[in-house]
Amino acid sequence: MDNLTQIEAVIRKVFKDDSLIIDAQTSADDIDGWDSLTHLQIITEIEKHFSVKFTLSELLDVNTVGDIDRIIQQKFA
Amino acid sequence: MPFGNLTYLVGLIVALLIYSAVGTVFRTLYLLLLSLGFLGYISPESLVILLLVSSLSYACYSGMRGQTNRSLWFFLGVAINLTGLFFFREFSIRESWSISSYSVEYALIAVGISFYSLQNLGVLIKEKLQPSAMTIPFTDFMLFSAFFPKIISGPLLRHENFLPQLSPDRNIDWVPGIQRILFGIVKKTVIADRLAYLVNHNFETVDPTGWNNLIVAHLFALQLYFDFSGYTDIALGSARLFGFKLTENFNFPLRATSITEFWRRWHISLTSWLRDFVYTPVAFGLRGSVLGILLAILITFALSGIWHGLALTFIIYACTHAAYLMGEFLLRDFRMKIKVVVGKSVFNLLGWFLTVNLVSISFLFFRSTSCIDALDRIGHVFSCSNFFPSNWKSGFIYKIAVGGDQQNIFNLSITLALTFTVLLAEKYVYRRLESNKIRVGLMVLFMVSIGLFGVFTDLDKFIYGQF
Repeated sequence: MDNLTQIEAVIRKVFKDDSLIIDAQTSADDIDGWDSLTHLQIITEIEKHFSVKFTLSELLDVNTVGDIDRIIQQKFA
Repeated sequence: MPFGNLTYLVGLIVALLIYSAVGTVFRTLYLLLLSLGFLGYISPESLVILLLVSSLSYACYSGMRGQTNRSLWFFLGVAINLTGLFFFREFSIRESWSISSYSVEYALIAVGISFYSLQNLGVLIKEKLQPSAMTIPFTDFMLFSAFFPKIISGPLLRHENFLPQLSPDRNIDWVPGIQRILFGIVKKTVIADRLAYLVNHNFETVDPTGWNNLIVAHLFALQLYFDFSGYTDIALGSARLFGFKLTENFNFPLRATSITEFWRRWHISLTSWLRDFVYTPVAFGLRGSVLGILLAILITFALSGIWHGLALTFIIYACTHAAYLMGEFLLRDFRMKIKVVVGKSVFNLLGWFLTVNLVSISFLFFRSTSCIDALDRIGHVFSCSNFFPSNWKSGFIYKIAVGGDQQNIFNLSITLALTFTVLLAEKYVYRRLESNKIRVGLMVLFMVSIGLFGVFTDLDKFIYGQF
């Protein structure tokens, strides 16, 4: 399973909505209820799922799901 | 303060004519001198304080660009801006002030420091977290701090958005700039200051009925929105004349269907700054627990309250919103279940109704001169007995209209009709004002409205001018 599919599963779990369709361009503006409060929850769940730790600087760079994917790839590179 | 009035507009046209004659290479320097001159004209001591705080901030920024002692320079820069913010705003705690008369008396207050000190802090924090490959030149940094359209009450700029606009090939945007300024003057003179007359009179005493206090709270919410967004339109329109697109501060906040959404739409430049530089670092540091998120919300809003002024009313106002947001966050699953049951349209309608009422009630703290006064009004709003007036004519309409004469009732009707017309039409109007096409019909409508219905006594006095 590629990273994007796994990130999609994590985001679906946070929002308790299996119908969400996520791609690299998806941002907080595209999903009802994705605000700064849930944003941190998503990052925390991503960290748990991939067993990685984001830095604050990386977090400030996250605007889309593609950014999350890029940061994870950098961590495993 | 000379902002939005005739002196300002004439000065703006003269400044723009000189700007168009100045060679593109010197335009940044010209704008810097113009901005410093504007601030010096408003308040010479504020100019000295800006030069001091921002020059020292730039020295710290330059120090951070070096290879050694980055943290030391960073903390020094933070200390300079926080000291400036505290000393020249908060230390000189108001001896007497009231929004009704707009009289604010301070020992020494530096105009604009609430905004440029946060901007400077933003540069330093960004440089600390994500050092940039490019060094900001001194003149660019100073213009970013002092840029005249935003110096009085924002919007709060971010250097990553503003500095790239300092390219020499920037165009003068006459049409959208002038149209936006005119719409701002309509909002201020035709709506906000007409509402101010009603609000100020109705705030003189606490009405014994809950209904009247609730309606007055709504009227103040409308006044504050039109006053602040009118100011912002003038600021953004002025910047647009010189080719700058500044951060939007409002996105139709009174249409929000939740408190979370409200804060994404209200005073956006300050809210997003607090989100990025206070909420996110705190919540990130405490991540993994719900309590961490709640604590981050509380800290962020408490700081937002203190930013408005060291007054208990502002701190309670901000903490009320923190409580609202915590409630929404904790009840998220329950709210989603309700949404499924009642459907999205009904859910949004209920959410909007709840949001406008909760926001307006919270503004009672913002507007009242004391917490006791605010609590007294809120107590009446939530009182089960005596909620509605026993006589609607004398107990409600005559009071809200500030008198029972035909003229008072007519003025009230006109004010409310104008308010709701602009409220409903503003999305449509903004879409049309944004283009480079001259909207003759709208311009005529604006000028006729200003001429017929405008109130000009407080044109250059904005509620957010005190912050």
